Amino acid sequence: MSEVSPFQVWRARTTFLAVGLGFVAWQVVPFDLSAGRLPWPDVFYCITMVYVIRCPEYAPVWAIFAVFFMRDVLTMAPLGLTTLLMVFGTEIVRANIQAFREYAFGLEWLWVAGIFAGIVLGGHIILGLTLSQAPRLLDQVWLILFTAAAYPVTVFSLKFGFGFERPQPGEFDAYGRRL
Amino acid sequence: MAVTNDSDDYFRRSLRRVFLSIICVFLVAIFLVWRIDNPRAERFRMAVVDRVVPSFEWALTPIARFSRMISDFQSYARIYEQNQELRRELQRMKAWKEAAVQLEQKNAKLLDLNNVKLSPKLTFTTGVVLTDSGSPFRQSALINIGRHDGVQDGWAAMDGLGLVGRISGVGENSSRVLFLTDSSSRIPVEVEPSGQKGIAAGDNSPLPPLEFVEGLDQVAAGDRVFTTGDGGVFPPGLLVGTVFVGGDGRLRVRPAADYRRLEFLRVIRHLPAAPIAEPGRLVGPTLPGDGPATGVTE
Repeated sequence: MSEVSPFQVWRARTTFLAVGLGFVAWQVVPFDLSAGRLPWPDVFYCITMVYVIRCPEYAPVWAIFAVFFMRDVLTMAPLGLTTLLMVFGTEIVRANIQAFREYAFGLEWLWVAGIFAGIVLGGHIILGLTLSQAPRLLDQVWLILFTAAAYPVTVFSLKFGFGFERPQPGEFDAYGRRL
Repeated sequence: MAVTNDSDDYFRRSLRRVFLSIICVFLVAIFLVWRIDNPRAERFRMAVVDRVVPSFEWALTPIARFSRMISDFQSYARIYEQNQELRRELQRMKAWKEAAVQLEQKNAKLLDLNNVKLSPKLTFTTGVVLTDSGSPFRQSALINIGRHDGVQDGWAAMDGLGLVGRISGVGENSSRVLFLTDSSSRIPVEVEPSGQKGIAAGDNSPLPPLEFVEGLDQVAAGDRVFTTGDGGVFPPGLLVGTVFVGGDGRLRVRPAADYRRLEFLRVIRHLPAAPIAEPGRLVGPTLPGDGPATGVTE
């Protein structure tokens, strides 16, 4: 990450977008349409968090917006709600990026899981307050647990598969700013 | 150099903040629109889905097929038990087949004697399942026929055997089927052979509860559940499933449709109910100077 050209930044952003839209498409493939099955972990949330903590340049807020809004549209979720909460969640991380980089992994994990729980339960409460139909709370709790469990796996595979590392102190980005 | 860099940085950061606020305002606005004017927002969603999904249909179908092939392959592990089970079932089915053939002949003879014409309403068109909703918010699927094929909101969708749900949202080339397991699905049904009427009310569980059944003592587990024509919602006589008594003693419907492997859906054409053209009125005695209270418009 020490020498990154703008071309590489845009290529990485396109990759992020493509992976995100791929996950959305994967989610709507009709594998099993029976009700009451356990939810899959939200792997793309984990990937987004890895990006935002490891290399926030590659996961700009418009890309997060685009992917999650597309997911809201395609999965019949309330329009805009999850996207809004996801943007808030990633902004929390961005605003405290230095702290997140210095955390031990356990603490980072706890924070990422906590933010996800906030997103899901916050959405549940907002749906309740606006008298909309919300999914069963039990499913939501499973979703939080599975996603929390998926985070270390995601970090591990992105680190050893694609070389995602937290930037070391003293590294610079494409525009010569300190990371 | 350092000065320009700093002001550059400041500019970028404030630009980003403005952009972020625009995104947030947009999202809050669209959520409120979704909540307040839901039909319009859902039409917008359907239009987007209608543009997007058919363009990657080529990818979705093979993936789903492939995963089914894998799960079929896994079932080879239990092939011996399955074989035994199927043999026993076949034995029982032979007896039933004999009875069915005799009844069919009898039925054909009687229909002929009475000169019965089958209802022309029950023609159907068939669509392929493109996507599921992929989230716990809705139990629904997208199929590849839409307004172009004459599909209309409210039509019933079946798999080969039983009712799956109804059309809710039609795009140009795709339409959405709301399953009867969805928590907003309410379907008037009749339990045979007792003829008790009720409503199959979805609750996002695999077995939708059966509500508003009056003669509970006349309904037993295993009774068959059919749609009624009540309210003109559905054509009557479509198989929904069988009655199942849950652990809490509640009556539930075990759908006859196999939701685990839906590939094709049969959409039944039928004449829609009278459209709701005005807000509901109070049901009561007709007051002088008031229109007829039965909801008939002049």
